[in-house]
Amino acid sequence: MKVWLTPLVLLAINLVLVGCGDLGLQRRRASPAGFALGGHEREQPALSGQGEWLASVVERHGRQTVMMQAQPSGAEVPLPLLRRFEPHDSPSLSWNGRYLALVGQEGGRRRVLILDRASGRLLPLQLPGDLQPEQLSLAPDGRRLALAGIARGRRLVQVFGLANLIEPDLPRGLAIGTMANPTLP
Amino acid sequence: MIKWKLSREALRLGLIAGGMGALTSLAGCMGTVPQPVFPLDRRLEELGPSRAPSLAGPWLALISHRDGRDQVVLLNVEDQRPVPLPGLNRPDAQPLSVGVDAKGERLALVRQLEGRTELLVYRRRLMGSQLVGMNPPGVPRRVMVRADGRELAVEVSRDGRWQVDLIAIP
Repeated sequence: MKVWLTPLVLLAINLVLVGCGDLGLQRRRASPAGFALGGHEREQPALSGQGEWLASVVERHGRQTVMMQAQPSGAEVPLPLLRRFEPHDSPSLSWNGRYLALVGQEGGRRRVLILDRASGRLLPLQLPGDLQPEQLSLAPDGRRLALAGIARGRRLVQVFGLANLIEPDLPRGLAIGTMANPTLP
Repeated sequence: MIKWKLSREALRLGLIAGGMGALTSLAGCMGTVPQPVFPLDRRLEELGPSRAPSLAGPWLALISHRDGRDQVVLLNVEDQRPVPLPGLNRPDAQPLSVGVDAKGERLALVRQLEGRTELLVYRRRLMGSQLVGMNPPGVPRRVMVRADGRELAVEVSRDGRWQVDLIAIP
């Protein structure tokens, strides 16, 4: 290549990168849900604390099932332990995607489940009282869980502490000493 | 005689061990019991019927039915106090879904207003909100805010299908 062409080529590359960067930063479509899903329909998205993981609910073999994907590659993580608790609802992820909490079903009863992906352990929670869970939100550090549902004919939200059940999943680079108030990204 | 005594003792121990094993298995089947956060639960009861919780850091955002209408409430879980959200709760709007980041600074809200369904981001420090358009056009239903406050995950209806959009927070 001729020497005088080099700055022109660099300028062109810069223009392309600026354009892509702008589009990429503002808005991105979630990675495809996979070819096997036909319509690619999906609901109830949940991102991990820094966006490395996306959980969502898709229909697969006629059942509502949670799908977990790395972002932005879209690579799917198999979740065989959760299969027998379909249909799934309301997935929620911790900071690094270590914990996946969701509402599942077992024998006609709605169950709240927490999957620890680091240990491969599945924790079905036994809820006190008569709360029928419908929706949940796991605190990113895994210390608490908020549940919405119906109890005694009334729609309510309850918060549970998980500190005695699971260890925290903190954002990377956060010192243990700051665990008392882990609100920093 | 000694033999008989020994075997009775063995039977007793066996029964105790078996019983304990059964209890353990039963507890395993029943699952693990999480601890309710008692003072907060009382506060939540006072709020009235509630739904759509979003938990991040010490913050809990939810939609609560108060004074005859649905409103967004932001609580600090540690002191159970609601935080003022000036300008967010319009009396003519119906909130559908809410999300909060781990600093409690950015809230995202899907609401119905004047026959439209819209998505907006509210900044607590600025006490102001900004509409987020759907592109390509679609109707948002649920929103969650990434804990670091940098992105939204939105469930959007387009051409009769539910899709997921990831939108960097403006």
